[in-house]
Order: sequence, then C-alpha cells, then structure tokens
Amino acid sequence: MDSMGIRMRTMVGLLILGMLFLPACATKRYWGPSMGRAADSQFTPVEALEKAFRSLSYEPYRGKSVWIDVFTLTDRFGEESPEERFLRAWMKEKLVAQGARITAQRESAEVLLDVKARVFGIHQTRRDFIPLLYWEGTDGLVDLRLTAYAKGSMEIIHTQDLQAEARYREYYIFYIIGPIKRFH
Amino acid sequence: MDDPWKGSPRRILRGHFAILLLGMLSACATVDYLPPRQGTSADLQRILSQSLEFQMARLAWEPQGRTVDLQVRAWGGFQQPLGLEKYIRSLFQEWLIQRGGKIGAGDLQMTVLVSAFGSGVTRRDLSFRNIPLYYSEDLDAALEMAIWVRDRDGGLLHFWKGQQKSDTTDAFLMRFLGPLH
Repeated sequence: MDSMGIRMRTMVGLLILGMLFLPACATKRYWGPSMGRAADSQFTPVEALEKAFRSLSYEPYRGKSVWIDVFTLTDRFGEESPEERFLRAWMKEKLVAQGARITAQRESAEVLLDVKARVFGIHQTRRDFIPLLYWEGTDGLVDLRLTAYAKGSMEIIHTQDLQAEARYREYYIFYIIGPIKRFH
Repeated sequence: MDDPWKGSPRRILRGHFAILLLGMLSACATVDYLPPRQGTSADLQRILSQSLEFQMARLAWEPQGRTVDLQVRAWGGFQQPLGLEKYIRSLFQEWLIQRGGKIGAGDLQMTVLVSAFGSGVTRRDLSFRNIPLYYSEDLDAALEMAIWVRDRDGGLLHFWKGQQKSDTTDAFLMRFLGPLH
C-alpha cells in the first residue's frame, strides 16, 4: 500500500470519527423575555459605543453645566426606551469624567446636548454548515448624531457624528466543540 | 486486485469537492431578528433614520429669522409613538436652527404629521428538491410625512408632502455564502 492509500484510510477513519459527532448539536438558546436581553446583545453595542466615543471632542462641554436628551428609534413600553436610559447614563459618566457638570434641571444648564441615535442596536446572523461548522454572529452598531445648543440663545455650538461597529462570533465545530469566541 | 483507495490526485480532489458541496447544500444562514427580545434591529433603525433624513433634505422652506412652534404627531412606533415623535422633533429642531430659525411660541406654527412610518420584512427561499440555493431577507421601510406651516392667524404659508420607500436586502447563496447586499 502506498502513502496515498494510507492517507486515504486515515482520512476515512477521521471521517467515521467525525460521524460520531453528527447527531451532536450545540445551539445557543435565549428564552426571552424571562431571560432578558442576551449578554451578546448587550456587550457588542456597548463595545461599539466605547469605540465610537474615542473620537468624541469633549472641549465644548468642559467646565460647563450640561443637560442631556437622548432620542432613539427603539421600541419602548413607557416614555423612555432602555437604550435611551442607558445612553443618557453613559454620556453623563463620559462627560463628567472629562470635566463637564451634569445638571439635575434643564433650566439651569448652560449647554443642551441632543443625542440622536440613528442606530444603537444589534444585527444577528446564524450560519450552519452542516455538520462541520455552526456559528452565531452578533454585530453591535452605533451611529450617533450629537448636537449641542447654547441654552438661552439656542444656537448650535457643536455637532458631531459618531459611528462604530463591533463584531462578535461564536463558532462550533461538528456542532459540539466550542464555542470558539472571536471579537472583531 | 487494485487498491480501491488508490486514485489519481484529480479523482481525490473531485471526491473532496463532492464532500464539500454536500456539506454546503445543507448549510443554512439566517438573519435572526427577534423583536423586541433583543431590542430593535440595527438594520431597521438604520433604514428608518436614513429615510427620515432623506425626506428632510428635500424640504424646500427656509425659516430664516422666524420663531417656530414645532408640533410633531405620529402614530407608528412600537406600542406608542412618543419616542418616534421626540426623535423627529429633535431632527426638525436642528434643521430649523441650522437654517436661521428659532424654536418657541412665536410667529409661526409648524406641524409635522407622520402618517406612515414603518417597516416590513420579506423572506425568500429558493430551493430545489429540499436543497437550499438562494435565501434572502428584504427589509423595507415606508415613510409618509406632511408638513404645514401657518402664521399666527392660521393662514397657510407652506405645505409639503413627501413619501419615501427604501429597502435593504441580505442575500445568501447555499444559505451559507453571504450576505450579499
């Protein structure tokens, strides 16, 4: 038997071994709404948010008292969506860390900051390459429009667009080995 | 007797390709969008925000130096339209101020009525004898908006109505290769 034959036999042996995995199955499951929003769906947009804020210019807000309003196109049950509450709190911490003051009253602010989130969310794709590979992809996307107004005159003193994306992948080989996690 | 495992490199290559093809035929790619469990899809937000800004760019009216009482009314959105109204109001506020206008009770009243603002999803599967060949998800957004600008006495100064349909498609071949936009 030549080396090619040995190689073929080895491959068939591996294939048979692989067949043992065929009935195996790994699938990510979220049982919403009792489980709440999946962790992947939370940390990927937050990672994108972190990336987007690296290019934010804090100069117009430093040493000023700021009031933040956040507007999104996301689903809501009450007056404010979870994304809006989170974004407002995030912005507040970022601005305070850079020397701005956040006011409790809109009337007492020097700067009114409108944050329009054109996009703040995820995009999920699943692929099955039966029986070899299965992966779940979660893309966190952020596209914000910041508009700062001078309270009183209501002149626009600063505008900025922030965009970023974070990609998270989980791979399963033979539907059982994994997850192999990758953050892009 | 010939060794059955023995073959030319080309035959072996063909065999490998056949195995790969068999694997691909049963492959599956699905765009998962399960609202509101995982929040509003990023694709949906993008297509909606783009269609709004595209419509506003076509609005031919200059508020130069006028104080405008801005009213926005919509009935789309999930459960209730408050978030949508606030978002559109913020867009128009920036638009008015950028063009020299002011916001507040004063000379003019601007009413923005969003009579349609929503989306639809169409999924297409082309398969042959249960072998998936082509799969696509088409996300479309429709926007219909009317704007009235009136003076203090209610006289109509400007009326504008616009419609916008936009869509985005993710297509997959063999349910694995893609997405092709």
